[in-house]
Amino acid sequence: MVINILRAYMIFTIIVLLIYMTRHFVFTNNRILGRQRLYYNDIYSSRMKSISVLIPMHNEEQVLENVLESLLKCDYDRDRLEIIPINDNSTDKTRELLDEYHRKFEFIRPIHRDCPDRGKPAGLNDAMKIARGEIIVVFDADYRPAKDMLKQLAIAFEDPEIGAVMGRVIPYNTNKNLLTRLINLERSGGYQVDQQARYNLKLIPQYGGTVGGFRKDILLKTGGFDPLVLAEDTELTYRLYTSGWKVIYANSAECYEEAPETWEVRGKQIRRWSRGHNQVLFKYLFKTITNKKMKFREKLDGVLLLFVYAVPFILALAQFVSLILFFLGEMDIFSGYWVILFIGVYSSFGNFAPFFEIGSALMIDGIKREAFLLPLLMFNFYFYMWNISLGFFDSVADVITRRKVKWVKTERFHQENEIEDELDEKLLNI
Amino acid sequence: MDAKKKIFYSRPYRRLKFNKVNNLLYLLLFVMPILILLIKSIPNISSLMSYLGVKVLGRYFPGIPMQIVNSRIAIIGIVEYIDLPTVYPKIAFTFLNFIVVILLLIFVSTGKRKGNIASIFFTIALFTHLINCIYFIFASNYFPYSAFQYSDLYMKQQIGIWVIFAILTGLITGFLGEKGLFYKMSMLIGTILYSLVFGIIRYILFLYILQRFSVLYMALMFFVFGPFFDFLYLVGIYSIFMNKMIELYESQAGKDEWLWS
Repeated sequence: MVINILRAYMIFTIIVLLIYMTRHFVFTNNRILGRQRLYYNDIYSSRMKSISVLIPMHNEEQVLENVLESLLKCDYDRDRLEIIPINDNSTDKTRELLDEYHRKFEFIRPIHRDCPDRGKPAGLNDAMKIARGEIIVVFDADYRPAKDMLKQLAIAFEDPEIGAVMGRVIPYNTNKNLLTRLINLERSGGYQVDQQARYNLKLIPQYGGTVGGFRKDILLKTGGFDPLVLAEDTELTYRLYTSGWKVIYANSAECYEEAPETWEVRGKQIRRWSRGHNQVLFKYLFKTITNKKMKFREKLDGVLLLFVYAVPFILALAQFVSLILFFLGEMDIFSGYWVILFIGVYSSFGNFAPFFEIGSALMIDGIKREAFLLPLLMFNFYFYMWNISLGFFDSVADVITRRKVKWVKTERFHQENEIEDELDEKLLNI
Repeated sequence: MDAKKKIFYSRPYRRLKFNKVNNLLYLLLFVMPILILLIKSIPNISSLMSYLGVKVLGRYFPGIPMQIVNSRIAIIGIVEYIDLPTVYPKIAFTFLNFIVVILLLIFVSTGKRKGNIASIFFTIALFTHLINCIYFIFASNYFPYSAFQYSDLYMKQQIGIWVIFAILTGLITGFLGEKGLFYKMSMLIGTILYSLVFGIIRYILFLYILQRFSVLYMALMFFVFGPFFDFLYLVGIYSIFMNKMIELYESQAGKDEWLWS
């Protein structure tokens, strides 16, 4: 009986992995060979919608000048733009620096939060209460929006179906070390292929919490962001789709971010993402399956996307089960299926794209030599499996105990002048 | 910021030209015959593997009873593999392994190494061997496999790897634009040849380890250096192939192959 259950679990895992592998294969071929669905680049509006740019900040004195100066250079009517930096319990000079900006530019209106409920969702909720714009655009403090970025993002909302828009995120510190180079590969696969293919196929492009925007009234009508959910971006994506709205992906709206430079920081980041994403899984799985406003293909992709951070845990458990089966004398189950399992393992891993998806993304991006790093993703696989599984356990504990989540900011590594240099180098090569 | 020396083509919405007929012909006239040839050759390859295995192992372990046996696999046909005696570990050897694994586990999972990719990879690998050592300390009499069974299962598993790698590589190279036919063919043939050579060498090496050091290392070989390791060279060859393809499509010869839709 026990052996049969364990065998059944292995077969279940193999089926799950094959589904994800097929999904990635379809995405890859669609992106590299299929007709691409364009964003609204060619549409101009004489009167753009009013926007509020929200920038959550916690101890960002090192980088805040970059994002604010970049936004000040952005091409957008000043009377239809406001910038709201959210100083969330900072203990450095963030407050002083922001107040100085406010004195110089009236439309930069920082809010200072000195309260115990620190966190991005709570901060965004507070900022939305005072925001004057119809559209909320969110950037993290380490981002560097290009001159046309605000126009590019805001134009999507001329389409009445669109609830949110998401741009492409690219790390600028890619040459720092092996980790940042590997993250660059994943980002390339995740955005250039995965997000664009989902947009092409009218599935569910994901709003990513930064380099994107959404309609303020939808959020306010539905109670704002849930401060108990760490992945407020994924939660918003599902809230929009289950309410009949669409998310649109703007592949041409490229924005640069700082990638984590140490494995420790990356591990914590991945664990937090996993925890948040799985919280959304528990909250929206049933709603997605039973929703009447979503098309079948959206539901299918929606369910697969919800499980993206649960799959590594399913795999970790399968590895443990396989070890038990081995010692119970059931090794023969692997002689045929085992190989397929590992193809699935390597090909379908989470939202961190499989090797052929990344390879295709590098080809589209025209990035030479970085493809040589692809075999190293194998070791990354174990790293992610470990940290994502921990995040999965965190989310299960969150559901059981209904505990309050603590928001932790990803550590920054660079000073303003270093960022400037690295970004310049990056921009010269695209 | 310096001025750009070269303005590159826009990348957001570009895609490769795709000719369905040409790609179908590539799959039907090149990938499919190679796959059929591979499947038809597996009985001979298994014979060669077994022959080489007996030769090499006979040199290192003269006098041990060894023979080549066969079994039938659907579609493939008669497959041969080596039957050899099973060597069980002595308790002292198992204990020694147990202590070394514990020390290595402490080493890889502490200090600055803690939490990085190498540390997690080796921790999982060592954990597998630790479980294995504990099993042999307390229940070695119940260990369910002989060297003969391992040899049989390795062969079946390896056949699975060869066939699936050929299919996977065919599919990956089959849908990648019009150019680079030579690279595509090289990728497919290179992967299959490397896989064959690697599979044969690993078979002999694993049987040598089982004979020399006992079945204590069977789980480690199976879970850590088994099929998962094959992906390392598959992706390694793929990475060289993709780099060549990227260079090709970024060159003068490849620039007309892009469409902007």
